[in-house]
Amino acid sequence: MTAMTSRTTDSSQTTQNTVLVAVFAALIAALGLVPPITVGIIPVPITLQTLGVMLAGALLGPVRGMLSVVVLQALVLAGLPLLAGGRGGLGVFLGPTGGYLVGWIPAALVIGALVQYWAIRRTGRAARFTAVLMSVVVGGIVVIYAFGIPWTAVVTGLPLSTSALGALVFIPGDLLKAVVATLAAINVHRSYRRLLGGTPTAAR
Amino acid sequence: MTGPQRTGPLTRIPAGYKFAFLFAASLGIYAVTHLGVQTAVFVLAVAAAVLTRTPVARLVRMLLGLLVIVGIVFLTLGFTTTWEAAAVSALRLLSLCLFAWAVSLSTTFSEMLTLFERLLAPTRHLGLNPAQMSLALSMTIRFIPQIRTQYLEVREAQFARGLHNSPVAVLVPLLVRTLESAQEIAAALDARCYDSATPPRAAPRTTTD
Repeated sequence: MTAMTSRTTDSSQTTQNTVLVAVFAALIAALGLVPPITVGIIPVPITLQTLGVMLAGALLGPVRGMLSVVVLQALVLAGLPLLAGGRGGLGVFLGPTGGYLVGWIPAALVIGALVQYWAIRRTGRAARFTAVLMSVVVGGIVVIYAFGIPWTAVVTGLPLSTSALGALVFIPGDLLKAVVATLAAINVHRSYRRLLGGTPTAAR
Repeated sequence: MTGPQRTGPLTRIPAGYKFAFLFAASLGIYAVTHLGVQTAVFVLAVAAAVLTRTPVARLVRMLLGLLVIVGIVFLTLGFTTTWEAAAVSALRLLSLCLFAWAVSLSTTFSEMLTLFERLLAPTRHLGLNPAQMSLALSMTIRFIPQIRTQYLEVREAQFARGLHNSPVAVLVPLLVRTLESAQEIAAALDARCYDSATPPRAAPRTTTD
């Protein structure tokens, strides 16, 4: 496929991408195992795994971000208890909340695409923050709920409106996670500019 | 990690058949709305779960969260539609999850991974690389404890600085460390000439064609 001359740089790029995918899959899993962060005045601790999904998309871009979610879910599907609360196995996918898990895959894809091709290229601090936050909200909340709410309705036989009403409880926590993910992603991008292949010369 | 050992008669069935059964069952369970049939299927699902010889306490612990959701669904549906419809959808959920757990509990982790690899093998023709995927899967398992330790370290350090409630102050150093270690590992893999790229049409061709 590739010419022999470009093979060495090409394969080291592939290795690096594979390692990044694996490391972020592990990060999402690890965020489910650690004691949850309490944010400011809000006493309710928030589970951090969707935060991991948001970060994977925002930091690695669409393809690698999505692949790291796929890798994590393959391990969960195979039976490792890597989801928050030690859940895992086939049951969690077929159960009433399975849609929220399946939604993680397109969520990382959408966040990655929006951040890489639109948000991170904004100039100006406020504009970039708003753009990244909007990407994370669209991918990490709208897309995930767009899978989760109908899934619950179909699996349980509840009307769609009831299912949507039940999901409303989690919106404030998810918005908070989106803000945290945005701040962290912008901070990391500032020091790791070449992650998304943006401006490799500026980093060196 | 998932349990001490797999016993019971279900372990002898190949993983592929169990997956195929689960797929067929998940379609079939939704097609049937008769309460009697659903009850029969539920009894079958309980039998399958019992056949895995999992300790009852562990099974109950796994089921607890599901039971709460199913209870809410049962009551909501019961009050808004008929109680028969509510019973059907509650039984449907329970039997499907029990079947799924029976498959998970009677199949070892390595069997599952072998099945995935076999299912993924044809993607080579689409330009993907199954060897890279296997590498990513096994590397992920190895990194989870390491990242967890790093998280706890960073968190402790930020606590000592008085940054108790600042998640960004914990996440940014964690992410930077993670990215740095990813770079080191990639460099180490390259230095050892680990080449997981597909060989340019050499030996393995004979097995696929």
